[in-house]
Amino acid sequence: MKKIMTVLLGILLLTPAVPKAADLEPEIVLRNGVNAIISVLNDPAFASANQKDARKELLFNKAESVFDFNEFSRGALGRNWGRFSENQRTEFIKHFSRLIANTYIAKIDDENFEDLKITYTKTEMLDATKSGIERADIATDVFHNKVMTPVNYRMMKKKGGEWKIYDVKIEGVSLVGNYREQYRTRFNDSPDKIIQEIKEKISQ
Amino acid sequence: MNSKQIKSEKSLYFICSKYGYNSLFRSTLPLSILRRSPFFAIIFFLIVSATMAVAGNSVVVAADHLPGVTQPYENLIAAADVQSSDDLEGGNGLYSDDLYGDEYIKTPDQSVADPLYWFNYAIFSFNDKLYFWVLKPVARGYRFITPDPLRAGLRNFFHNSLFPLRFVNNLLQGKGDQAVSEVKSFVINTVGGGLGFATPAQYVFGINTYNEDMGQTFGSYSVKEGFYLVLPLMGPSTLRDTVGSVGDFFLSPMTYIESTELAVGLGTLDRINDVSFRIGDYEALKKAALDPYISIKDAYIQMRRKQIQE
Repeated sequence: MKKIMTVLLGILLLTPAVPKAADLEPEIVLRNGVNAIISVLNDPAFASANQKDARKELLFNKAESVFDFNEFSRGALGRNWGRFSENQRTEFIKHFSRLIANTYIAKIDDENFEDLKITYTKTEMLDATKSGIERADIATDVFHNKVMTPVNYRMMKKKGGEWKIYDVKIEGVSLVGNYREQYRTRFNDSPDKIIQEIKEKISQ
Repeated sequence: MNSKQIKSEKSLYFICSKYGYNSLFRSTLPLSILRRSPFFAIIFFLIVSATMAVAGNSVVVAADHLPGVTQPYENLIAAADVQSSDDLEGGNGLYSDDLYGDEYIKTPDQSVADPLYWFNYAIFSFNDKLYFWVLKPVARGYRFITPDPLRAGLRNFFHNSLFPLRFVNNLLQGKGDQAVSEVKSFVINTVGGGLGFATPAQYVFGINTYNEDMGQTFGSYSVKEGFYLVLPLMGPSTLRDTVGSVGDFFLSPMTYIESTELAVGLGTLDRINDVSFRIGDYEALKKAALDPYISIKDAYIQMRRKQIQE
């Protein structure tokens, strides 16, 4: 039995993954973005402790090129967005993107990424919005530390723009939706107070 | 590639799991009479679920209409939503692009009421301390002294042992194909994988298992969540899911272990083993949140709705 299993396992491992007929554009953009982040993580040049801050900055820059933090912030604030002035919005976006990046980069930093594997299971084009922003949903399975987590990326492309991520759903939980729910009851807090709160959260 | 994993592994598992806390549920509730007698157990379960099916939805309706029963904020929010809807087109005009669709724009109908907020909040704080003071240090020590293959094997074993629960709920939801996969997986892993410690059904044959529980089954019958509940040791739940977990309790083989010591021991091992895989997830979630209580509530509700939808 064991022998048969070993042989079967061998065959399974040797079979190369079947390439898909045509990868859709948003998926290619996402793959490139994610691969760029992973290559920074695996780069031995940044492995030493004194390079940590440099690596963090680089990771943030790579993230910024695929994530649309502008839309993240807008979606997170929900109805509160309308109460923010132009300056306050810029401030909010700046700190909010830091908060999200810090949380995930900090988590990444103390983990070992050798056994990280991502499979792209399904890419689906969604209906465009009224004003013609194209949208796509990209489903992936992330295998790490012997745990599989389904992660869906929502991407959009404005006219003349590039494909960017505007939401991430981990196990069906939307990051933007989760913040939106937290801000839903904050209509009495001034925008400055909301910004201050994020600043404090980052410095914790 | 060989990294096909059992689909039960959730990173939000500690906070949001159904199965993880069942093991503690099982070992802490004085349900010894019910444990000994399946007949009483079934009667009890039928009564509870029937009551819930009738009352569950009407509780929500009632809660929506009785001032003071829902969170006092709800009405204000509804009013503010209406008032500010004109502002949506304001700013640089982009918000009107319904990027996020109607998906997360919560109307009072969509969000789950929290009439027991103060009770829930107290339990939430208790569970939080329990995690940091007990569960996490224990799971850390356990991870340190236990070889990875053994931890993975135990996880597979406990997952395999919950086959009856998944099988029955797949059937109750009319998911015949998934129920068949469950049987195949159970037979192959139990026989060929040494009681489920190894998972040849997944690695070799690529058969999936499908986590379905009673709460999801109720959900698939259009039973609403009822209201939000945080349970001691078990974490976030709703009225519907709590009743569901009573059903799950009777579908878990460990419920029928005669020796209480063994049942408690296995239940604890299951839980600690499980947490050992996801140390750090709860911390990250908490760190990212502006209001951890609401963040976790929303994460639980979103996760369960996704599971039911699938």
